[in-house]
Amino acid sequence: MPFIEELLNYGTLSIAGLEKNTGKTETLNYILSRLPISRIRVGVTSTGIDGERVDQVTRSSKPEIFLKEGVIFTTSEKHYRERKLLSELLNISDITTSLGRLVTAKALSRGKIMLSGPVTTASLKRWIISLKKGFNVDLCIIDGALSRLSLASPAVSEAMILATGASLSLNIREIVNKTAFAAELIGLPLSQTNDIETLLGYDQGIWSIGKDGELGGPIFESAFTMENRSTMKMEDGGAIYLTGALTERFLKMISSDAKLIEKEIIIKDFTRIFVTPNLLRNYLKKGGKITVLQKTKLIALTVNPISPNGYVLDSNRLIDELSGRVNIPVYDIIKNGYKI
Amino acid sequence: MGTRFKDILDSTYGIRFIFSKLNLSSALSATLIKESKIMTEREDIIKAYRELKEFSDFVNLNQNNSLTEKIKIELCEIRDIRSTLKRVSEGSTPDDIELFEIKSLSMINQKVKIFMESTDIKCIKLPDLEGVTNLLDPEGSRITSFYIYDAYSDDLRMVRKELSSKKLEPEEAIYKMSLIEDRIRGYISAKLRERISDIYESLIGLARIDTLIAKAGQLKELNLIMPSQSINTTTYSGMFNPEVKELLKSDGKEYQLIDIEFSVSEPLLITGSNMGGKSLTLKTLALCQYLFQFGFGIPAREASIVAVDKVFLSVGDEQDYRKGLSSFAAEIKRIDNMLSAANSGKIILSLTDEPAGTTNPKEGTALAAALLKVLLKKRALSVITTHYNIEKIECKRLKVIGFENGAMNYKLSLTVDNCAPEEAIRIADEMGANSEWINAARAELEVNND
Repeated sequence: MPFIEELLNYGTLSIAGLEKNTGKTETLNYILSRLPISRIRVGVTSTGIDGERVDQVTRSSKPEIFLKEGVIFTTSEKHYRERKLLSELLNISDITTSLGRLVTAKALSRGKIMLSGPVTTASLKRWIISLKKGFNVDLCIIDGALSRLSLASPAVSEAMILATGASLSLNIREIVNKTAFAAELIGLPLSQTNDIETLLGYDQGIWSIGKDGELGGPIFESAFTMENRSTMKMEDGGAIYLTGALTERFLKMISSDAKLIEKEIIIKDFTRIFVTPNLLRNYLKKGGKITVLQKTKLIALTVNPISPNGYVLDSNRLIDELSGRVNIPVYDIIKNGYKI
Repeated sequence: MGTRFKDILDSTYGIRFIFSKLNLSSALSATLIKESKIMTEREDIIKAYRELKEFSDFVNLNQNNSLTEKIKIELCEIRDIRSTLKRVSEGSTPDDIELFEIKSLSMINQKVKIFMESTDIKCIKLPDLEGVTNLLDPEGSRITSFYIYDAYSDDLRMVRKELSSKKLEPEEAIYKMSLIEDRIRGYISAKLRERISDIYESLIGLARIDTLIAKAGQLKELNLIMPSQSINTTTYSGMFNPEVKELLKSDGKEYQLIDIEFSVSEPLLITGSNMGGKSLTLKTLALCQYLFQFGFGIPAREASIVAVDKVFLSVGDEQDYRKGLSSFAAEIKRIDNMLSAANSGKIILSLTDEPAGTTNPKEGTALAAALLKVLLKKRALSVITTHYNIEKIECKRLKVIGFENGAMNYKLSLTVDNCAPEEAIRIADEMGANSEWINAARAELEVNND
């Protein structure tokens, strides 16, 4: 049974999909059905924006999660009322989402539930703490979203499983390229700065960090207002901290300046990068350095070779080519008959 | 319509500061304070301070710190479930989430009730919700969680057994279960409806305990006192503005306490140099009056206060440009409102900063003097500040002592001198204003005096 044993080494796990229909829900259901619930306490929730998971018209694209008895879960009031399992309500939080307050409950029977949890990174972190402290949960699982629309970053978890597949492209090489790039981003090193929590607290602007760690700024409100480059002539060394996204334009500007390229770029986590693979690789080759404040460990890839419009790719070839590019295990959960 | 606390929360006289310094445990208490109406009846105010005294005697004793903390921790979990209770009382059946809310409330009530019974506080009696707790915790686990427990019905236990042993198809079992659960919810909601007024009383009672603990703690923290009631004369000795005091303290300066006394139908006229703190005194008087009539501690060494029906504060900085009124027009409207309230037989507190101070001195003096004359006949406690020389009106007069040995003395002293002080130019000079301007002003003054 792939990677289940390894999961027991972590306190938090996120499952993220590179696209819709990459089999994220199947992966989550696979894990939830295989975890030894009798040995460890498992808590699960989902981030992501409401529109993504609830198709109000067709009501079809809402993925339901299958829970076993004993699993703790957090969802919105609305989805709690629609649950198809027996559960004991444990807590109602003050955090509200567009689907109501978040409620935490324990499954008392097997059954299905729709999950809709914290929508910001801060509330996601609070959720992890409240489950660990309040209900002695050993492993918190986050059904995450890797969308630029999502405010809650799955990078807050210690470990991550990434779902990929034919919904990205029908060209195996392209799937491999895109997935390998995502794995590269997830692998960016953790920043060595002393005060990660302080930096995470800033929500706006671009900051300079001196050689001795002293913080200056914000030197710009955002990368968009950064017209006058001359003001970037700061002292040598040190780092630049971006509270928002790392964009093409910003990286191009840094790459083309021999002085600036020596500066380390610090971002919150890998989901903040919006640049093409070529640009990023060029920058790194030139000696540029990008670090993150929150790092997660990618422990496995799962693939779904079936595209939404019915094409089926060769699962073995997809797995082989992916394995050749990334240094982590790759599984096709559905094909290998790990039926849920 | 009485003033509600939220109407005055963002006034210029600093209610927000007092409110923000109130260490409340539950957001419900804050909501209820904001919704509360001003007390104008003598008995209500006496009762409010009697309660505050009971809590203060308890909370501000060091030996009770841990018990107070325990109560506060329980109160943190109080949620505003008034709409849930309303729904239940109107006959709708609560779902698991709402039953969870009621269960946690009744459990908190029972814990706080025991804590409160071990104190000398008698003014708030929480209802006994043991029955409600039992109803929602049939297995007696006393854990804050909820579902329709097996213990409610043998049928339910059976179906659930069949579900877990997979004798029944899940779909079918869930359906059968939901039928039984609905029946049980109906039973629970009928039972709850019988106790709904007690549950509501508990919710409000717990929020009041929270509020009174916070108000009592604030007495100590901000150095506030409990005032006495007076029929005719409001007296403050050692009055201060808590917000300004704190600002001065952070600058390493000390606040000068104010003594002031004024009676119904006997207007008090305050004169004194600019920057003598006259406007601040008026604002602090408004603050104290509201704190009194909402049952808070009063920032003074001693206070005896007359309850009024309405407070009118007219300070120049409240010019409402959005209504398109000039500062003069806005002031005339404010004073006019105040006078019509005074004419309606209500007892009012009228605080007017420099009436007609923005117009020519001749007419301004006439308007200010006339205001004093008119207020003399009303059932009003009036305090008026002015720079004008108002000579022939019978009223009590206080003067800001002003510059003394190179420093400003904000204290008020009784004066028989009817002339307003002439210190404006000197103060402007001390502030380092443009010397060409100041010297020219001095010269002007001499020409006029000659």
